[in-house]
Amino acid sequence: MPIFRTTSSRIELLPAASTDPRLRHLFYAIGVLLLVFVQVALVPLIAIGTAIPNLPLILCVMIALREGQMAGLLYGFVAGLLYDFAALQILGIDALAWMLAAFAAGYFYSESSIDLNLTRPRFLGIVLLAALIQNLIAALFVLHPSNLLAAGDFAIELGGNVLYTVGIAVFPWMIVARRYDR
Amino acid sequence: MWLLLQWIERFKEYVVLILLSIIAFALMSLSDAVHLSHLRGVVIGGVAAVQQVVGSFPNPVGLENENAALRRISLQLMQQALRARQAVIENQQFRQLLQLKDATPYPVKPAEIVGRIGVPGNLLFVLNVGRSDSVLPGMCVLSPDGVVGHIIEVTDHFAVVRSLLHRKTRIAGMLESTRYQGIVVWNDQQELHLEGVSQSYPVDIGDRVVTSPVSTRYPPYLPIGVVQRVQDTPDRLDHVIQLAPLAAFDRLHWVGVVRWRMATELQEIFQQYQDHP
Repeated sequence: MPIFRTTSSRIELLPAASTDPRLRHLFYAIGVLLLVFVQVALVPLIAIGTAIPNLPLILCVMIALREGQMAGLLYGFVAGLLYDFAALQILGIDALAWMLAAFAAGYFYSESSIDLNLTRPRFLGIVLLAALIQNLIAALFVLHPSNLLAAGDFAIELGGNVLYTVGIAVFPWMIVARRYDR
Repeated sequence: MWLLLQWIERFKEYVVLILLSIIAFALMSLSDAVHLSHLRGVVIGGVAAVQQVVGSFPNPVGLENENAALRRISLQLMQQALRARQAVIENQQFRQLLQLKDATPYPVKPAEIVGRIGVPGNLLFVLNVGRSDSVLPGMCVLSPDGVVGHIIEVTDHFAVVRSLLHRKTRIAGMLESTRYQGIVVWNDQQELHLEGVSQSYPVDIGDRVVTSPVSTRYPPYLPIGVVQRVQDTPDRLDHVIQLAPLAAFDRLHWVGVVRWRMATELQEIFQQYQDHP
């Protein structure tokens, strides 16, 4: 069963979900749950130095670009909260950071340009912006003023996280773009 | 009311954003709640089980990082071991220097050899003490084992020592057991000798040679060397006495400067009779 299907001018994530919003959101919810679990359990194993990608955020950005700002911020909040809970982080920090990142990505939402947002390189730019916002907000809570000497190391780690996330986002973007071209 | 609902409908994204932000901040204060920590423990247990299974697969990047970290730690440990070994050696040397200070009735200023110039026959040392440490030319330098030499030049922070192993060495010395006097010299054969002890006096191998009380440069009774070989030749009136220096010149690092100089009055007498015997 194909995950993506193109219609005349629109790209749909699931055949059935394309018409039924409830099924579509069920798919998003399962995707977020699964990716949060992968983020906690498996992503640390593919860390490069201290840099790790943020897989659920990529999905949240895709949701924001496809469903709008409201859906983006809700999924971002829930995904971040789940991550906080499972990764033993302080509850609420990632919820806030991921929500604001997805909310920012939602500014690029337009019903007429869903396909363009998801299939053109601008998608990677939006992911970069969202990852940057998410990492900066999380850093605000983690980086203590007394630890500003380590700000340089922190900036390198932050940059690594952002670039790694964008690098991983290339794969879903290519899949979507390829199916759209067909 | 209608207007308010209209306003909320119009800005619903921002309203929800503010509400969720408030919830997020509220959750931050609840983060340490006990009932949540139990639930988190269960989740972490599940995550750990999955990680254990997946972690058994080799991760090239992770292994590379781990190897790099281990190499770095290994290098740090090696450097620490070297520093510790150096500290032990220096500790021994300092203990010997302390013993030297106790054994010598004169004030001794510890100094580190920071430079070696020349080879035996022309060997000079540079010390990290100088005029600012009240070190003056003519003062003698000791190691815990014996005499090293004397200072010939000082700057504010450094001093140059002419060692015993120098062709200009001339020290009034004597055999400790018999008190026969002679002159300690470093000769052309690159050997330390005690010259001027008559062949009619008995000299034994192993006898210690110390500085003489008549020395104008060195305090009396400082150990110089031990008799290694005694040779008598018909063309000389004195023994050919070869000495083994007591100071270990090949591994000297810390020494003591004896802040002693002959009384000016005595120096003047010596000077007067050397100039006009």
